[in-house]
Amino acid sequence: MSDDVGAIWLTLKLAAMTSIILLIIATPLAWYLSCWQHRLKNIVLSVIALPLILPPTVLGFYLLLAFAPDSWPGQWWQTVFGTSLAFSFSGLVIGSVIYSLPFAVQPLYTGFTQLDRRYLEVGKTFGMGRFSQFSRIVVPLCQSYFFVALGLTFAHTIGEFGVVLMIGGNIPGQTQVISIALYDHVEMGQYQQAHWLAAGLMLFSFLLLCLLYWANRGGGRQWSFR
Amino acid sequence: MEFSVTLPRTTEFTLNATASLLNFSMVGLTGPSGAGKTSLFRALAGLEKDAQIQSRFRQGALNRHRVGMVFQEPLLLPHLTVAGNLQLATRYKASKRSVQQDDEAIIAGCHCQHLLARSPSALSGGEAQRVALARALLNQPELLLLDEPLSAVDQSTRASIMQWLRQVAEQGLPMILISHDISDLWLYCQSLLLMQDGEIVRHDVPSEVIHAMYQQSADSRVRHVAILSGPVRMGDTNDMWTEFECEAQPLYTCRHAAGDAKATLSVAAHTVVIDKDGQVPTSLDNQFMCEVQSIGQPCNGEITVSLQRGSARLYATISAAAVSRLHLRIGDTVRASFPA
Repeated sequence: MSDDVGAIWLTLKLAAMTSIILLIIATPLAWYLSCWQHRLKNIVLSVIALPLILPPTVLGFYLLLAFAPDSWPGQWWQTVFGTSLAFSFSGLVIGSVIYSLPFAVQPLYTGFTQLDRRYLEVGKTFGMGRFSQFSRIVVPLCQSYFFVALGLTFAHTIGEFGVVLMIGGNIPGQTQVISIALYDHVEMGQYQQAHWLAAGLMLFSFLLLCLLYWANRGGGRQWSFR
Repeated sequence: MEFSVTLPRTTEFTLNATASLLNFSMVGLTGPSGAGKTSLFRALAGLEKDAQIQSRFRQGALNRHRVGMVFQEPLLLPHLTVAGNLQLATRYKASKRSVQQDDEAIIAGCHCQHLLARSPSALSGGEAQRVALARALLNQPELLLLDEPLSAVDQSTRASIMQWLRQVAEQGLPMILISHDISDLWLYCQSLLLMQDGEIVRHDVPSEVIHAMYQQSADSRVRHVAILSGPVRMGDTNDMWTEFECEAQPLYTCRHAAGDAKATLSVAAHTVVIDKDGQVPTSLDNQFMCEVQSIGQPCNGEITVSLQRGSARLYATISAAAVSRLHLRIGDTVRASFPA
């Protein structure tokens, strides 16, 4: 049971860190993509969306190769931090960030492309700088898209299995997340513990989706851009 | 202020507008749709990154961060209330300005006091335009560009706001106003810029520019309007009409702001009746003796006759048959009758 508590804690930590990192990465990326007009744009969008359709084991396999100490990313990590990237929590975070990238980018990209940029021009005529325009106009107007991006990333990370198993293995307290602990219980015939984790995940996912729909449909605060 | 703006556009012409405005308070900018008026404003406000601008404003280059603009659409930020929109503009206002406008006076001048707690989605088109105007003024720009700012506002409120705006402009905030409303341009602007195909083709007093526009347009469907004005001769004796003098002739208007020493009367060409006799009484309130200056070409059976007395100009759109019946010729003296 204590292993399960550890797995829950580790999963929440992984999901929170992934969501925060992705929000920091995905916001400027989605903004840039929404402004960028180039014939290669579809290719870039496809690359970002790849994790949506790729089997997680494919991504996990290539990430495992990249994290191995004999590959240059894995070697660089070992030289700088002195630890192996494969089968570590840091490796899990990096893997989760790559795996959940489209879940953060897509909602923000949609929000930014639907935003009426003339509101920013109004801000510019007030003498507002770019950061002020973003924080006082873009963020509040795209608030629901930020909530969806954050919620989807968090939920998706919590439900990760294939990628985590490939690059993190099943080390209790280090890389064992809820989905893997559940798999472990089933393998060992511990159905009651498996039920607790499975039902808990189902309830959590349901509540999170309710919250996301509430945020996305407005909850009474859905702005019309035009 | 002087400016020269070049902006490549996706349409058939390049914006290439140059003007020199000396000691102006409110200047009008008009021209056909697609002439480049809004593009010129956007370039002056620094919203067109491809624009090449050379400008001089108050002994220096125009600071594009201090150019305010009221867009054709109000563009009120939907996540803020009216008060929130106004506060945002106030937060980023310039710390110094030659003329300090009291915030409350601005809100009152734009008739927005009762709207403060409302959400932008709960405003009518005219109310939203008034808030957008107040918001731009509260930001305390050094130059204000108004792109048809009151097109959705009702006539009487618009007249009140335009008169107040003219006062604000005269107190030290120069404004350029885009409008297709001949009355507004004639009444409130010191001078008028006419823009065609991306260039400013004429800059003169409003009556001359408007007359030139009418001369260019052979289409009688263009509703000609003239403004007659002059000093008030008699006050509101019966709270309805004001008598004023225009080119030594008495005229009456029922739309005169109390206390204003000058009265104006907007006369639409299709409301003017002309006759050569001048003796037969008519039911129309104003009679104005004038001279036929030009007779336009017939269009859809109608002809627009241009009339003049001194510097006052008037138009009458009448049927081609009436021109023939009256034997109208250039130089004839006629009586123009029209409502107050």
